[in-house]
Amino acid sequence: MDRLHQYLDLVKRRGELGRSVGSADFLIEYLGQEFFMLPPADVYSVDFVAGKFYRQLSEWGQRVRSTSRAQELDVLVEYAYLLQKVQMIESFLGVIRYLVCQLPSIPEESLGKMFRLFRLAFLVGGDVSLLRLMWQVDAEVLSYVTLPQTIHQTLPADLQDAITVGESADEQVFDRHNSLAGVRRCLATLDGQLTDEQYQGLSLNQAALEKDPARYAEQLNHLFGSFGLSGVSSVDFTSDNVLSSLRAPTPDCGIDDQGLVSIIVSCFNAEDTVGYALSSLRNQTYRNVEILVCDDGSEDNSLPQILTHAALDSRIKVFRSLKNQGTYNIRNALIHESKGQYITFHDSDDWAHPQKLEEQLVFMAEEGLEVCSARWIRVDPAGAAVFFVDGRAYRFCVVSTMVKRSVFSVVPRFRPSLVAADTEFHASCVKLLGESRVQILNKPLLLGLWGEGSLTRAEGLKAENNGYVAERRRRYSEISARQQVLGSQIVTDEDVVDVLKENGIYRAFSGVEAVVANQ
Amino acid sequence: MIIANMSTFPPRYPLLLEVVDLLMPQVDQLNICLNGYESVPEPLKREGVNAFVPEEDFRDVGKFVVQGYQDEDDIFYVDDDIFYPGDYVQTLLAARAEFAELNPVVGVHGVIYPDAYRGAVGNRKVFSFPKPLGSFRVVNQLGTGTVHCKGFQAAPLSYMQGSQRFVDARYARYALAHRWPMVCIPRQSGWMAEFELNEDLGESIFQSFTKLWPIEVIRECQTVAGYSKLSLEAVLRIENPARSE
Repeated sequence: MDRLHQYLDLVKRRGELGRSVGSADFLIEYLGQEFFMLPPADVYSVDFVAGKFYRQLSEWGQRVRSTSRAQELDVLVEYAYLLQKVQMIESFLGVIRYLVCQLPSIPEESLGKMFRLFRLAFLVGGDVSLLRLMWQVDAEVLSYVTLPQTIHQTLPADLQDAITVGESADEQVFDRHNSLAGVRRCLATLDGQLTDEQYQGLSLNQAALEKDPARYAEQLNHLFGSFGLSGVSSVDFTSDNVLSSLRAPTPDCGIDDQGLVSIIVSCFNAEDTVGYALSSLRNQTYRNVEILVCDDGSEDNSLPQILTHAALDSRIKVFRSLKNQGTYNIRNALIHESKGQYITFHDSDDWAHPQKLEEQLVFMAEEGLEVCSARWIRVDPAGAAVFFVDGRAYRFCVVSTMVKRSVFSVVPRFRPSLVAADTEFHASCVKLLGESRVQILNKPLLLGLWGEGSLTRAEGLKAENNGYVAERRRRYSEISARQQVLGSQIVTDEDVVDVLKENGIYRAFSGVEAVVANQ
Repeated sequence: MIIANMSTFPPRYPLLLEVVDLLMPQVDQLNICLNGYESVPEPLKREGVNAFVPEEDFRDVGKFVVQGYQDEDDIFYVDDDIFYPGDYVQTLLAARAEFAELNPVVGVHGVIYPDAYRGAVGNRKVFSFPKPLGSFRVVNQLGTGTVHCKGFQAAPLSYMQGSQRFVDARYARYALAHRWPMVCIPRQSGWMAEFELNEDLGESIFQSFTKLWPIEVIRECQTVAGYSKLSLEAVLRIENPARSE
């Protein structure tokens, strides 16, 4: 066993035993310096798995080997589920297609799961040919698949006839959450069927769509209050972006000092949003922070805005890219510049609730976590919450991920990609540390701008609220997940970078330099 | 014209003559690449047999040395350690003809890999040629000792070079690149059998190699591996014919 493997094994054993194991902690910290922020291939050269879905996937081949035909399809449905869980999205879509071809032979007890995965595959790929394939195999079965009205109406006419419009509360909320009439109808007719999340989100949207700032603040406070969070003091709808108008008092911090938290922010042409993003970080109840902000070659007034904040708050350290390089290269550079025992991230168009850091630190301490992410609510510039196709508005916010510094001695550095490298990073955390030490705090601690300027909404790079994930993102997800599952001898870093380049999302690292505020 | 291609080496000579006798009544021509031989043995100097001693040791790639087929020639790739039944060639010809519009490559020893394949021999779905198979299966890979294709589907030597001892994966990659589905045919138990080997006869490639996959072979397998890479058109037509219209 080589040193890295020994080290990872030690980290794993420490995690199984508990949070603090004296000499083991010292050894892990000492050895960890050697393995800090390794390239992915170095980490994945070691066959080391903690995440349960990764373990199950690696054992799946043994299960299928001696199965009968019916059993084979049964375990293949389970296999598709695992592929989706580890983000091998292209393989997942392919296996679902195969299973559709075999639909008449799939055991009845697996059909329910198969239909759920089929629906997910259609939504992720947005591929009408998948529906046509099922129609070809068994037209009658297609009528059991339901889609929200807003997606249903985009289908060709013949498929609209074959597929049922979904009438579940989740589907109606998705369909109607962004029009005043739709919101009112949901609130009036779905009483008793709505979850608290749906009721609160729709109520917020009603206030936003009615342009009633007092009621909006009231609803937002009701929402935050239901999670034990403090409220906002004011909001107005005269600005182009409601997030820029949010005012929230900073309550006293309820915890003792847990050590320095480094918050890493990158910024590119974000003059309209970076101000409130930084204000929300400066107003955190947890005060022992450093905020490392890097301007990525903006052509607008982002940098002057950042410097203005830095002049007001010595905790802000300003950097700029030597050449535009994308968020994830900046993160790699600034992690080296940071000094925090905890490291987290923030986007330049998102608003953090004042208790975000405090809540995450408490949760990590209570649960003995290495990694903690929060939930966020995506809001459009007018303030309306965005519901996704599953009928939910409180989403997993990968940007919010907070990690102990030592995590970067286990999990590799960020990939030089324009998009989604944080999703890969989080999956790496799950694989290498295990689900029990990588958890999501189920509180909406951020409001994220759902605007046209976001990369998740850029043509060719979309990750939409209807479930669609752009092909270029899927290809990156597939190859990076393959490396995690198969190891770097089989899938090298060069293989991954080739896919990034082929899909136009590779970004070369250029480095950063410090900017002095008074220059 | 029905043409079979085989690669062999001296320790297999006693078996070779038996296999040649099994195949010759079924084919028009049998090409035999005699790796490691100094000359062509007299018993192989017979009508219909094109036995030759290559200038280099091609190992199992030797069955791809002969080129220049007509598109409609019926090509068979065969091994020197398999007991081929008397109806072997006709059975495979009929199987391919049944699905000719798909341009399949047909065979008896099929493999489906997991989509995330890490190289463990046991972690594959194998339709082994000595074992029964109830119905046609579309597969990722066929063992090239049991393959039938058309002349236009014969892989060029230049493509196969470098794949010594993993020709099955390389040929599967060639077929996938051309979108020719690989189809494993149904058969009874024992329809085909492998001659029992011992040290004198030279151990089989499987015994010496395939339990220990080198990394370059696993990487080669990735290109063809997985249910997601199986031809849907072929799966519908062959495994679910009622739904393929």
